[in-house]
Order: sequence, then structure tokens, then C-alpha cells
Amino acid sequence: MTQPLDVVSLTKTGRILLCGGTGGVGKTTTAAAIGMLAAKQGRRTLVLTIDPARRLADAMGLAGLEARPQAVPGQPGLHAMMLDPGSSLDELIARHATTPESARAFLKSPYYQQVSRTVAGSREFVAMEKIHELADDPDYDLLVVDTPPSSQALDFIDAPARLLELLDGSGLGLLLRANSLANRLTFGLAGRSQRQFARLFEQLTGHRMMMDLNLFFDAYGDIIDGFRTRAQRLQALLRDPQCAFVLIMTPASDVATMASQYAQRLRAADIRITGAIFNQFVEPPLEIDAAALQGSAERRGISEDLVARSLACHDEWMMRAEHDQSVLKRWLSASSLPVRTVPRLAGNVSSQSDLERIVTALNDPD
Amino acid sequence: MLGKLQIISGKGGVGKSVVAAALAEQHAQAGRRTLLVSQDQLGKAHPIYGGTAGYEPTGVRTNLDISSLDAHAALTEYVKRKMTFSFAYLPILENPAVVRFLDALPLFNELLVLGKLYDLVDKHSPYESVVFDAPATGHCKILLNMPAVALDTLIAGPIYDNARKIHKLLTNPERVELLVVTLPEETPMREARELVEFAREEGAMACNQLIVNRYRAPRFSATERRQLAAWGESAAAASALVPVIEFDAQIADSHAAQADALDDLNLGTMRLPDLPPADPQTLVTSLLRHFP
Repeated sequence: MTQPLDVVSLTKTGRILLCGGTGGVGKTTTAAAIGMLAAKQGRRTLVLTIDPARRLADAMGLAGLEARPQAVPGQPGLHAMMLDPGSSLDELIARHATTPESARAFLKSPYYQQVSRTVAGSREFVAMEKIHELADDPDYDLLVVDTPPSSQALDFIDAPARLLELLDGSGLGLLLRANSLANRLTFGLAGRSQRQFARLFEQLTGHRMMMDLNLFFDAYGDIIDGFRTRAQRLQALLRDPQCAFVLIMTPASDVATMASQYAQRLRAADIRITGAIFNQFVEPPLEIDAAALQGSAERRGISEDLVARSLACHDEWMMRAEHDQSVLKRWLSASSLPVRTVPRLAGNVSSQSDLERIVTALNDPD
Repeated sequence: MLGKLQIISGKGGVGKSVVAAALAEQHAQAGRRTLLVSQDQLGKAHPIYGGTAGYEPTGVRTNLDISSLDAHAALTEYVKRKMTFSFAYLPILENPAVVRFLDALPLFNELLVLGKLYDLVDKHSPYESVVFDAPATGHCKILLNMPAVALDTLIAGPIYDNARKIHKLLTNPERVELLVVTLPEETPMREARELVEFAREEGAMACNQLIVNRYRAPRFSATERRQLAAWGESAAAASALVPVIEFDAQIADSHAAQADALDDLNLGTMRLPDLPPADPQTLVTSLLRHFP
């Protein structure tokens, strides 16, 4: 039997705690609750969050749009900050370019202007850059990070590598330069097939696109080294023992796939996933003595119809609770990762008292 | 024949795939030849029908085929069909470096995917109805915006011509509509609003239908709730019942408060119930019964 995930110890020891998972599983809420728990342990904590629901943002003192840490009202030792990966890729590029001119050329290239937001992994890269920047901030003992939404639970971890692969000037740009010797060496493409590819590409996309791409890759070559160094440092940060990754799921998640993805990562030994949290877990309702209930209903004049509907409601939640238990069992049989369940609340988590209930669940010694 | 394309999107985790499959099965049951198409599922298990989704359509029900879109496969098909001396190019397209390059290149990829969708509803296609289980909100916006980007970025070439054709198709309300799936919760509702506004303003697309999935209607009137609460307080036998009734009623309250959050957008709204957990195919079949 797997040990339950000890969230309290996690908040007591590490330096960075990443909450990752697919869309709609409650990463933002969980990150906020873990932050509160950490602050209660006496650690000066900063929660980095992405796109929280409005009322949750209010509860965290994030009503304003400022991208710097704000004190969370009523929670000593807890700060929160919005991560805005959308807007700061330009900034990042400007910082990594060797000269302001090369940055300008890159940012002005029509191709970059059109597609910068679509570059896979760029949001994650920018988010990690911010984490890296704050990792040495003496004002905080712990950073709790809500990761950008993704379709694959572990995308965040791969982001720096993906962005590099995507934009690696020595790889992509050269493909279009038919006569490059370096290219032939890199890809083992014979000059002839390379020229054919360049010709095919130009035929498909037109000359303007070729020019744009060449401009893009020319400028990119200039900043790629800065990016590469940074990506390597970010990857090292993720592998640091001070950094923990918690997988967030719900009982509706495809646990079989998650478990096997996680096992693959573990085999590759390139990341430490510390544990999993099952959110929105339905707790079994109290057992009902049907005979006693019927008797009491008759004495109290509660209509048969109302009793029947109440029982149907009870049955439904009992069935949902059993389902969630069976998902948990499936997870435990497929994975050795410590796990913790957080009960489903009736409404949106929108206040500090809702968060406190999640904190209690995370803190529960069982 | 000239088919109709329905694009289904929404925030991650709202149940897009199940809703898209139910919609496709509804078309198929009405006797329309239908294709349910998803993206980047190639070689993976299909989220609803299991098996392996291929680029070439496979039948799963009477009148219903499924397939998966893939930019690289679409490019290979395109080169084979449209280019003279295609045999000279095909081996290059299989080169790993080229595959990586094309994979990594935004714009090009999206246009290939959309180009394939275009073909699937074009006059040579056997399908009357194509349901596209599209990526989640953020990626969907990028995808749908690409033809406009291409028209700005490119000047000529087959890709440019394709982008113009696709743009014309996407903005034709007779043939293409975007259906937005959401949950009666704050964040999915906000993303749904962003997607509807994007489609209408920047995309100039038809977007008139909102699907609120997993909606829990109130089971008890306010009077009944009070009556049950009083019962639970005074009779030991009923005390176990009351917390779960309140729990259920509070969820219904919160759903009711969220469900009309987009009323100002004048969308037709379809509310689908919060079905008990089941395997995806059972969910699709149950959901179908709640479709108008």
C-alpha cells in the first residue's frame, strides 16, 4: 500500500513546488491552498498563479493587474503573484539578444510577429524564467507554482527542451539554406535533396514566406545561445532536489494514461514527481437506515415522493463516491506515487474559508 | 457533396470529446453520412471509441466514421495529389529533420490541418456532416486565426491560395459553425465568452450555440429544502440524509448562478445533465437522449 502524500513535509522542506496537470483539474486552487498550508508552517511563501477565477483572485489579494508579489490578506507570510507568460516573450528575447539591433530585427520579423504566441512551449518557458528569477529571492522560502494549462499533464517539464528544439537556429533555419555545408553535416541530407526540399517549401508557401523565415532564423541565430544556456539552467532547476512536482488529477482523469506517463518519466529518471493529488473527490454520504427513515417520514408527514427523491439523491452521491474510490484503487495499483485526495466542495472555491477546507484536507494526518 | 462543418471547442476538461461524439452520432442516426474528426490523436487510442484513430477514416457506427488530423500526413497527401513530379519530393518528406522542421513550424501546420478539414467538406467528400473535436480554447483560437494570419504574411503560392479558400469557408455561416462547450463554473464560462467573442469579432464566424455540460438542475424546491433540514435536525433517522441533500442543493445553486453568465451574448443554450460516471461510449449514448 502506497503511503499517502505528505503535503505538510513537502511545504516544510523544498524551495519550489510545481503543481502540474491537464486543464480543469483545479491546479490554481490547489496551488493557492498549498501556499496557505506552507505559510501556516511558518515558511515565507509566494504563490505564482496563472489566470485564477475572479473571486479566487480577490481572495488571494490579486484584484489588481500588477505582475509583482502581493500580500494575501489575513494570511501572514503568504504572498501571491500573477504569472503572465503571454506578454513577456518579447521581453525575454530582448534580454537574450547580443545587441539591441538584433533583438529589434528579430521582434520585427513578420514571421515572429504573427506566430510568437503560437510557439509551442513559449508560455511555459516564460513561466519558468520567472520561477528561475524568483528562486534566489531571499524574501521567500518557498515558491508554489500553478503551471499553464496543457493537454498533457507533464508538458510543463518538457517545455524548455521543446522550445529549443523548435527554434534551434542551427537545425531549422539551415534546412532552408540549400547550399550550407553545415546543414549537410547536421542532417545528412544530400545537397540535391536539400535543394529539393527548399524548392518544395518555396513552391508551397511562396517566396515571401521563405524570406520571412530566413529573416527569422538569421535573427534567431544571434539569440539562440542565450536561450540555450537558459533552457539548460531551467532543466537543471527542475531536476534539483529542492524542486518538487505534484501531479494534480480528478477522478475523471484518465488515470491509466497518467500513471504510465509518470512511469515513463521515472524510468527516464529526468524528473522527480513527488506525489499526486486527486481533487474533487466525492466523499461517501452517511449510511441511511431506510426502515427507520420511512417510519420517521410517516410520523412527520413527509410525502412519499419527497422521501423517494431524497433517497435517489443519496444513492447518486453514494454511487459517485464508490466510483471515485474505484478510480483511486486503479491509480494505486498502477502507480507507486504517493497520493492524497481532496474532497469535492459544493460550489466554486471562491473564498479563503473554502481554501481553508482544502488546506484541512491536505493537512489531514490520515 | 458540400458538407457542413461543426467545430467543437471549450476549456480543457469540459467534456468536448463526449459532446462532439454525441453530436456526430445524432447526425449519423438522422441518416447523414458523418465524420467525427479529432486532432493529433494519430496512433493513440481514440478518446471515445478506443482503437487507434488513423488519418484515413474508419467506420464505428452506421453512417459514422472517425479519423484523426495530422499535419504531416496532410502534407504528404497534398504533395501526392497536387504536385507534378511528387515522387521526387515524397522521400524528402520522410526525412526526420524535415519532419521535425515541419512539426515545429507554426502557421504551416495549422493551415495543413485546416486544409484537410476543407477537403473533408468539399464537393468530392462523401460526408454530409463533419464534426471537428477541436483543441481547447487557446489552441483553437490560434488555429482558427491562421488563415487570416496567412493572408497577411504570404503573398502567393499554393498555401496562400488554400488559406484564402479556407478563410472563405470558415466565414460562411451556411457551412461552418463553432459550438462552444462549457461547464456551469466560473473559469470555463469565462473562457467560453472569450472564444465566442473571438469567433464573432476576429474570426467573423458563426457562433450561436453554447453547450453547458454537466449541469445539475435543482432537485428540491426551497420549501422542500427547509422541510428536509427541519426533519434532519429533529429526527435521528433523517440526520444522515440532510448533509447530502444540502450538498446537492448547493451545487445546483452554484450552477444556476453560473449558467446564464453569457446571456448577454444571445446564444442558443443547450444544458446537458451531469451524468453518472461511466465509460465514454455509455456517456455518449446517454447524452444523446438529452439532445433536442
